[in-house]
Amino acid sequence: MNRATAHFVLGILDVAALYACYYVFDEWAYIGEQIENRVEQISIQAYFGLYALMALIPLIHALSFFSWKDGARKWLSRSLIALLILLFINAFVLESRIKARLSDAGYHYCQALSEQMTFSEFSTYLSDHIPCQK
Amino acid sequence: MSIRSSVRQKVKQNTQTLDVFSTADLINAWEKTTGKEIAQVVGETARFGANYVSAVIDANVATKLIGDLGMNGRAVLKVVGDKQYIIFKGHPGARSIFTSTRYLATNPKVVDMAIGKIGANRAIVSGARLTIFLVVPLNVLNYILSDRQTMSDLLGTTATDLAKVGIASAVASVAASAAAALTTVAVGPIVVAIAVGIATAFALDALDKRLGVTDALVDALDKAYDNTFGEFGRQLNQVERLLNWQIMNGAPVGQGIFY
Repeated sequence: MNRATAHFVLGILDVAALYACYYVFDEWAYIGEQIENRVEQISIQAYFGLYALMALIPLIHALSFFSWKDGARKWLSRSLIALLILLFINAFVLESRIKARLSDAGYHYCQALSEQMTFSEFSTYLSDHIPCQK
Repeated sequence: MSIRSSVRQKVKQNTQTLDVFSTADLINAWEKTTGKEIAQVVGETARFGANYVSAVIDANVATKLIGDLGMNGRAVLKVVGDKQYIIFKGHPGARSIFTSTRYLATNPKVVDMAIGKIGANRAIVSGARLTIFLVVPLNVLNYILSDRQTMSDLLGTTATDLAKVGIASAVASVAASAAAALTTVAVGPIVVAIAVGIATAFALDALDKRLGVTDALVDALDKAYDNTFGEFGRQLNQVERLLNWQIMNGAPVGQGIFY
């Protein structure tokens, strides 16, 4: 792949990454909104925080425009690896915080209404007074 | 103490109760106790592991690579004549895997460690293959254990699963190739492949859920089955009932069907 095509591909992925990050924030806010409005059934994609891993793409792309000295490159590489690990941890922390938030607000997980897809699960949480049945 | 009473006492002390269940009873008891269907639990847990096993393997390769090349490890792609070489920067004596300064891009060591375009692509293809090898048997297992799954569910789910694995791998492969063409950090392409692969896989699931692709495919398979084998079965049943009626009522057998 030549450099122009590579920039074009990563450019498209940059846009996708921005949307992915926006989606994570929007989903988090939407869950809060649903809890405030006492919606009876809340369905969320489990570990949706993993979308935020895409944030690495614009960073790697931006770094490729500059030439870095060895010392700086060393720290940049470390920061990138640290960021990758942080984003992974963030996804799991976000998931546990959502579960705690839902549980505190009086919601319970309903397996019968949850749907297992190929790579992820769409978990359904019901208000405590609603029985879990299909 | 007599021998008889001593034996009796020993038997009493060692009394154990053994309950014998049939497989179906055992599964029923387990489902009643936990409130979960066994197929759901087995399928979901195993699938979760299957989906992320390739990402874990990739992460393991990346860790090995960092261990060998260091955080600052750089690999540069160079074309000499018609051959592609991977040139490793830094002191080769400090490395344990890549002990030379340059390797052919097709060298097994380079390909195994997912360096460069060929290496990253190989890692993605083998990851996708592994996911397929695990996901398909798990779908079949889920179908066998579940009471509520039909053959159309199995075929529809497996077809969309394979399509999703293929699309996610292709997108990750293109992204990794693009990163390999631009960045000189050796772990760059594999990190991009992990990030893009996971995000694409999740996005495909979300799209499938929103558009109902799997459900539509299962419905279409159900309808196709009903219109072919189902219709054929109904016609046969109708013929059988007519023949039975003719035999019971002394009417000419086969009249209206064969002549």
